[in-house]
Amino acid sequence: MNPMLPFGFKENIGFLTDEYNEAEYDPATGLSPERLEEEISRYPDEHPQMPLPLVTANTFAYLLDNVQLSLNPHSIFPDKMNVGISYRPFASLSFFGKLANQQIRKRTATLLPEEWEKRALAAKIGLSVPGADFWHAVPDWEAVCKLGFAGLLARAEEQRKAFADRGELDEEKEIFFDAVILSYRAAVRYLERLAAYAEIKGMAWFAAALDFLAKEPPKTFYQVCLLSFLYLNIGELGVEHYRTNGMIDRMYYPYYKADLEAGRLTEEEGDEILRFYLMKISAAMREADQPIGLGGLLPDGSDATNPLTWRILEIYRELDIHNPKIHFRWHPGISPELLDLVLELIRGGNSSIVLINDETVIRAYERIGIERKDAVNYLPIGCYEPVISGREDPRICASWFNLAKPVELVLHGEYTDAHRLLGLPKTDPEPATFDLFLYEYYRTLDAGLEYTVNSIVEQMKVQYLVDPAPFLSGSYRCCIESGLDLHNGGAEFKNTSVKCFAVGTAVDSLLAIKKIVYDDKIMTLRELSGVMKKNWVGFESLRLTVRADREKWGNHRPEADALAQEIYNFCGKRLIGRKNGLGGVFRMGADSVGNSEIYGKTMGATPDGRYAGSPTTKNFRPETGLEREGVTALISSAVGLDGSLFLDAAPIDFMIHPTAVEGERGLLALRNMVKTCFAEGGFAIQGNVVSAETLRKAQADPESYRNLQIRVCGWNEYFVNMKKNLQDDFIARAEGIEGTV
Amino acid sequence: MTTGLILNVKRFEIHDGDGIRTTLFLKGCPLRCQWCHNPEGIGAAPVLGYYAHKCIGCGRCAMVCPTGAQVMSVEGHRLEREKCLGCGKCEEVCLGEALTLFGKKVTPEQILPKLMEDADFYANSGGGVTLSGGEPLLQSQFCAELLSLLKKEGINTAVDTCLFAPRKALEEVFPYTDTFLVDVKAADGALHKRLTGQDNAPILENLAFLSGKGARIEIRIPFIPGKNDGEIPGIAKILAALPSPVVGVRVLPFHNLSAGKYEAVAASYPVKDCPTPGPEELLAAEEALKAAGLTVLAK
Repeated sequence: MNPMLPFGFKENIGFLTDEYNEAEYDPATGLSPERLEEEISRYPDEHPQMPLPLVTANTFAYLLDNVQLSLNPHSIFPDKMNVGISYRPFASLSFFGKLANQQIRKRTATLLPEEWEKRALAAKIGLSVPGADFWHAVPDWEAVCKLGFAGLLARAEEQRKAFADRGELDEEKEIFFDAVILSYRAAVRYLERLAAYAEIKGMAWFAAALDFLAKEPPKTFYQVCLLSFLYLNIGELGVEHYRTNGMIDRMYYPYYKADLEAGRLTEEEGDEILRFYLMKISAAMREADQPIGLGGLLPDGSDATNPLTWRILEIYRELDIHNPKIHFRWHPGISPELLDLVLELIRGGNSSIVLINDETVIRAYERIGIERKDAVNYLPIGCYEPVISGREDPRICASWFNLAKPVELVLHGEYTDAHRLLGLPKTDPEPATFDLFLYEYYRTLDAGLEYTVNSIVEQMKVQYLVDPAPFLSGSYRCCIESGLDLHNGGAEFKNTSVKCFAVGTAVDSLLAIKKIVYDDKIMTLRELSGVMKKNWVGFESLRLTVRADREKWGNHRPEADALAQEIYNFCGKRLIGRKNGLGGVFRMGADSVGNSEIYGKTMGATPDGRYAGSPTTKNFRPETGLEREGVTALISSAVGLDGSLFLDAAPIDFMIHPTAVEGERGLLALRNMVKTCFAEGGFAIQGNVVSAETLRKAQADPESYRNLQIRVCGWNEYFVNMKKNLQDDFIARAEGIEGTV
Repeated sequence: MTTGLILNVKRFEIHDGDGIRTTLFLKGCPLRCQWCHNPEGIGAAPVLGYYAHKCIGCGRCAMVCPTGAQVMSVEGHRLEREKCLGCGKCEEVCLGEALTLFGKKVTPEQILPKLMEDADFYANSGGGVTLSGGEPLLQSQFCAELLSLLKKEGINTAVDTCLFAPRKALEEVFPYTDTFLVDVKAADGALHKRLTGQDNAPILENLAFLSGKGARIEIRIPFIPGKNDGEIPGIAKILAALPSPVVGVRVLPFHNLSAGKYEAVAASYPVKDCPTPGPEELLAAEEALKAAGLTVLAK
């Protein structure tokens, strides 16, 4: 038996699936979360003169030195910290993260009071919610694995000295380096403390691994997996959530291969480590699921997959879990058999996988001036957003922007406080033609984007005064070499992203206005505005007539598709590549995440037939129930948009009836569907293979369908755990596709 | 140009030939197979499909119906089928999308763009367009014209047929058809007549004719427990004796997913309680085909 595998997975599984929730912390190892919170929340006020990065580093160190520990004797990744996280229904922020969040809000509101007020207004009307997005982060995983804790610490110390020797260690840099060094010293101390505790608990094998990782970079497959968890747990104590474990097949493979070649590990033992690894992620209950990256191109243009890619997918299938979720990077040279394995998982009901098209991502990077040789090293994080690993600061969700809101604003033709404060134009209340209506739409859209962009820039300017990130910055070579925190411009690529969503609601509403007011002249714009304000009451026939019209987004209809293209080209011209005042540029995305619901609640009825408060359309999907032409039409509509516009993600969500993709031919059809989608420039594709009948049965009998998963947006949920209205939405959607089966 | 009477266009279809296909269903069939899964396609005249659960009672159908087949009363909406001419006016105004006219007139030029929409998917998957039904060869001139247009566009074509058709119909479509998907339901003539209402002699003659001309033929055998499940050895023998070998044979197990459609067109469904065949039965059928030297294709 491998010394790193003191026991097997199978006999311990009962102690693993919910291990975070069930963890018991040893009071002898430190202070309770309540005590820690009390001490830490006092710290900034007790040190009013201390620069914020040092406050952050010192409280972080205090936390690591004093947090209570727990070791699960049934896991080979056994350690946990007691930081007040609740794990139902998902992992909450730690108390430390919550405190940091409060501080961020407080500091931003103090530094930018007017901006903060405007932001609240923009959120209230459902236009956009611009911010700095401290919540999506990723360390430089390659550097973490290559150097380990001690190596990252040594690199920071050396660079501090080098700056000092050159006489370039100004106060700002000195504070930065000191904060990084304090943080990494604390991390090393934490490992040593954990090792001593493991010794006491009779887990000498774990103590030995920790002692090694406190001093050295990982040498074995087990160690590199362990290091990832340790780094993740420590790094995520604050607000920055590390939105992927990295491209783990290519990153861990050299360790795995070396172990196999040296006879330190058998393939079976490798599988056992993967079982513990994947189940550990599952048990951590991260909201929106924790991603792992697989596949893709190497910098030399060859395929990056390796035997470990296969093992990870096979073990993932065996465990039947949806967390981690998988970012699978596709390229034309990917092995068809490997792709089939991925597609079989999706077809079999494990839809926690998104396929992302390397070529489109690379083209999108080239569009903002980043060369192919750099772009090819992208890493998908969060739901599906690419960042250049270890070099790009991922502000992937600086804002969403509701494309349907300007339709509503122009339709009602009012001039409100929101217009005045956010700089939105006074529009013609009765444009004489549809073209003039569109003109007003674009004017409002333009002003809305302008407000959003400017607000992001203002907030990004103060980000270091709001949330320094010394521990995270310590992993980035560019930060250490420049002596700048990641949140102080330390990244090589300092880009920010705006996601323009609800294209279906916007396009369908505009076309409905064209038909009702301008083509068929059923009523005037003012009258239609009145109908919307009454939420269609008394006009149900009109609402259904509008919905029955075939010219709808997502159905490969020429007029709807052309209008969507025009809108995104317009947004792209205003956003993509525009300088963000930080030395970087703006990127655009099209995915909605949960914002279709959130923004939908703020909106009144819309002319596409939507009722007030209902969700807007999600990602590139058509309106629920109006997906009449099936998956090929949806893909054709979506790829009609230039995929390179959407560096910040543009996923296509398919829903297919199981009979449409059954058997060998069905698998082949799925493979060729993906191939066609990507050959036409699609950005990413994900979906559900499920029938309305199954969903209805699951709704009626949740006990029997506990494992039924549904791809919601960029993550999965168990269908039976979803709210009824969301369940109904998926049932309606599945019924909609049945006409196409 | 000839007009055709069509039922429906189905995209992303994998069961009607190679690759990702679009299937155009044509109206009218000379057979009356008890298990037919497209009952709306049987008759040669248009038929109105009515999905009662989708009706919202708006009454617009009654306002446009020229014959009073659509009735609104205090109890709600009622369809008096015997009065329906199949004009389709009600479908156009139905707000709940509860009414569907099965049987719309189109010319090959009119329907071609729709069939071309997934051309990229055909190209990437080795797919194309399939004409099915009903029995497409009942409208052979329309089929031939449409197939020739598709061939001009470089599209792979298939015709899904029972082969109960005049020889001339076959000759018309033959030059433009890449694959014939031929249903063979029984070897025994008397049984065939009992199950489908027609003799199988013309079918088998047409099959031999096509095979003799070197056509690419895929055979499909609907497997209906209690009806034709004893026919496999006989069918295998016929197929093995054809002048040129068929590409393969697919056994299609019975399913009753069409029950909703029978309801929609108010037709009786004689085999609705027929069981779905089990894996052992299917395996035995496939083994019998293999024993005759035939290639069995996956479902």
